Amino acid sequence: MHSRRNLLTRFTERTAAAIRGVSQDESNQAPPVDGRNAAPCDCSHPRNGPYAHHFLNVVVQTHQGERALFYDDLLKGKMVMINCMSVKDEAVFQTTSKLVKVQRLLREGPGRDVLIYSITVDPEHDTPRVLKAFADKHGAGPGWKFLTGEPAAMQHLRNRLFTSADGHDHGEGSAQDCSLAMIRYGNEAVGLWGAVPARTDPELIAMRLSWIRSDQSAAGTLRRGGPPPLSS
Amino acid sequence: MINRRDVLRLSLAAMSSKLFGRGRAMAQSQELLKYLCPPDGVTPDLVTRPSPPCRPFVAPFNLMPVKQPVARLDPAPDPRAHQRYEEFLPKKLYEIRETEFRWVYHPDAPYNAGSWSWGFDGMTPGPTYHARYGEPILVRRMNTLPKVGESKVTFALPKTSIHLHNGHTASESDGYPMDFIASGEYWDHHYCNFPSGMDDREKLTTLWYHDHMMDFTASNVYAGLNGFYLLFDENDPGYEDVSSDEYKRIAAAHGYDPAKAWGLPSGKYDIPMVLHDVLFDSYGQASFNPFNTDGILGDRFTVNRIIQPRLQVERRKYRFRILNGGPSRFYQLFLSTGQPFVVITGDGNVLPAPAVAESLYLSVAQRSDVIIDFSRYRPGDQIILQNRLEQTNGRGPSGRMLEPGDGIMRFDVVESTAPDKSRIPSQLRPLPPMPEDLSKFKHRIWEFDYLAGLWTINGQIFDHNRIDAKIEQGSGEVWILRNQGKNWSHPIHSHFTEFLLHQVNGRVITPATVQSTEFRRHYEFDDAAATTKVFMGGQRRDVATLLPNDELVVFMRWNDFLGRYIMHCHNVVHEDHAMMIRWDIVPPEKPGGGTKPAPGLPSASPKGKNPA
Repeated sequence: MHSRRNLLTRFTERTAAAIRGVSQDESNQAPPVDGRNAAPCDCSHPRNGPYAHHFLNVVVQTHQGERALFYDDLLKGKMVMINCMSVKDEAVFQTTSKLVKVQRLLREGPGRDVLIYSITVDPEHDTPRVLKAFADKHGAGPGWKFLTGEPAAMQHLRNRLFTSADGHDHGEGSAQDCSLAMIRYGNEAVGLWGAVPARTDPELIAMRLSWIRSDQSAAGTLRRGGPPPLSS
Repeated sequence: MINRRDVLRLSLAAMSSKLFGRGRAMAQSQELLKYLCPPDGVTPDLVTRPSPPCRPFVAPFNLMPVKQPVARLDPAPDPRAHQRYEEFLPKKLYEIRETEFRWVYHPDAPYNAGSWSWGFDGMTPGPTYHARYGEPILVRRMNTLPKVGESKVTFALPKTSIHLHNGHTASESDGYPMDFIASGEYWDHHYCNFPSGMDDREKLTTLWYHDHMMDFTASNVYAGLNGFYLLFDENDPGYEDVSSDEYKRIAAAHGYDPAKAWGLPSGKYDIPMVLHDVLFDSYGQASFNPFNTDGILGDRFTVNRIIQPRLQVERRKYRFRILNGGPSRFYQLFLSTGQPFVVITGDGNVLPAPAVAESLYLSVAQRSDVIIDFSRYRPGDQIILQNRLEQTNGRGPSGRMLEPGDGIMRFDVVESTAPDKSRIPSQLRPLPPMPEDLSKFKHRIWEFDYLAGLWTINGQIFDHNRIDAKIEQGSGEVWILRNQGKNWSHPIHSHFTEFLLHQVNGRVITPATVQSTEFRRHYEFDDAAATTKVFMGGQRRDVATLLPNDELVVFMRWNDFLGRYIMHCHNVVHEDHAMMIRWDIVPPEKPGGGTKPAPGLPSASPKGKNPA
């Protein structure tokens, strides 16, 4: 247990340091920016945000070849949808095709700020280059990143998104082995997260993003919400 | 890393450790907790971030006030919006606000600063409704929760659809998951308070109300949106001294025959209690993990949202209405003195006769009304209500028992203030009869399973626009409920009408059968036995607990209303990850008909979809 976490932490620190162009030694010696958050897994700078404690700040690579810290760069303060996928499994679940439709709807409406992250569960095969071709083939729009990375980092994200069939599998094949049939939607500026099955209609998935959007409108007088008059 | 073989070895060790005394067993249980939780490599929150400590049995018990009606509603309710409104004109009107507030779960720091919570009229659980059969009411629920981004409770969604579990309620007042209101809106819920089919045997007692918002039921109820709704009637009028002149006057006012009153412990000796397990952060704020799709567990046991309270009880009989409020934990409750419970209901259903049980097994949303007689104790005696069912993940109980278990609350005995006039009758209420020939009725099969992160029914996930079963009004049907999982449990709840159990894993159930279990894979049945070890419910209930690989055959009838309803898993995390179906009550094809011949008993291969 601990060994695995330590390994991951070391890995994360090393990669984070590499991104910033400092050697591992320097990064270890650098004082934390905020002493209260100096836990070892907090990498090079403090993280905060509602679910910062839930995700390690692992380094991921996007299909466009960028490297990013998963929490700091991709989640913190943002409206997002996240799914786990692989190029191979798309044939079974077609979640990417569904998300293309959802993204189109969001971009037509007030959902242009919603980012989409598709995390591969098969990082060995799904390299940035493979994911780029996959994204282009499906017509993934701006604000949609396909993420891959070191297997340990991807496994961490998968675990944290509960994308594992440990204990669930009937032994009926790999299709059941990871929760590829679900899309998470979240407003991490607030810390409000839901999940919707990928099979749901695109309109109903897009509608959910409107539920969780921060709402600054002024409170009016109490109005009737229902029930509506019965149809004759 | 600990591998699966080690886990097995540890679990065997834990079982054998019972032989070596309590301390060691507890230590083993903590060890196990670390390793038995999915997904592989994820340590559960209650191990990595346990709640701050606090002293047990120091916080006083919380008794919710009874909700009082208002003289009028402005604007008035819309009669066009409700089925059978003119027939069941509301005799009482209520208005209630869904609000955000700091709730103090415990007097110790950091809990004393309060945890931001949601509830009704500034409290959680909300106020208790006292309703009567024959007295329709209308409740206007006003969502005055802060909007997203302004709310201090961040994990829950301020859109609500309040369901009266398991009211015999018209669809538009039932709290359908998509019948939600946003902050700044209200919804009128019309409760007719008559038994299904006007059959007195269909009457219910202890109901509860809770939010049922699409995708967010678990988090919204966890935030505090629930409370009790108690139904009284001629047999169970809410008065115990039923031979008194005072009661005769009350009975006359309601049109009750005073001779029919049971005289159960009532008034301040009739106490509802809802159990929730909650996980708190280091500031004493209730925290919620929205990414866990198996079910979430807390490490602080609360009763009426107070951590391990103590209740002063007189040396006399009490009625406790015990509800497992979830979200995911199952309980098996004992009294530390070994005194058995006298059980009078299973879920909202009065048993034909009281049962005596050494322990109560409550899956999520299950209720049991029990009578505990404290007259056998001396003033100063302390009795602890314990949960001994081990659960290490949200999928269901592990199958092991904790010794001595977790303390839920403590009863502190004091001298009684007056003679105990309450009674426990030897006979209560007969159940509606099971039809003799079930083959005449339509059969449907529902299989509860898991697919790629989702909890499924017949391989499908919930779609609120898809009707999974069309049921003719006035008809009865036989439903076969199958758990396809070998290591998870599902408490299955269908709205509107009760399950009448016909078979559990092939064993025929009769009205006198008490379902019992020693371990989760093994049922026992007591037919009118003197004392049952574990009470899991009687023949009639509104939550059918599917333990691993179970198959239950139930009979149900749908009377009185039309419209859309749901059946779902009441591990509300499973429900939110789509383990729910929509069924509709539709007008009968032939007036007065409704019961069609069965197409034959279900085949061994159940994979086919049911005909809608």
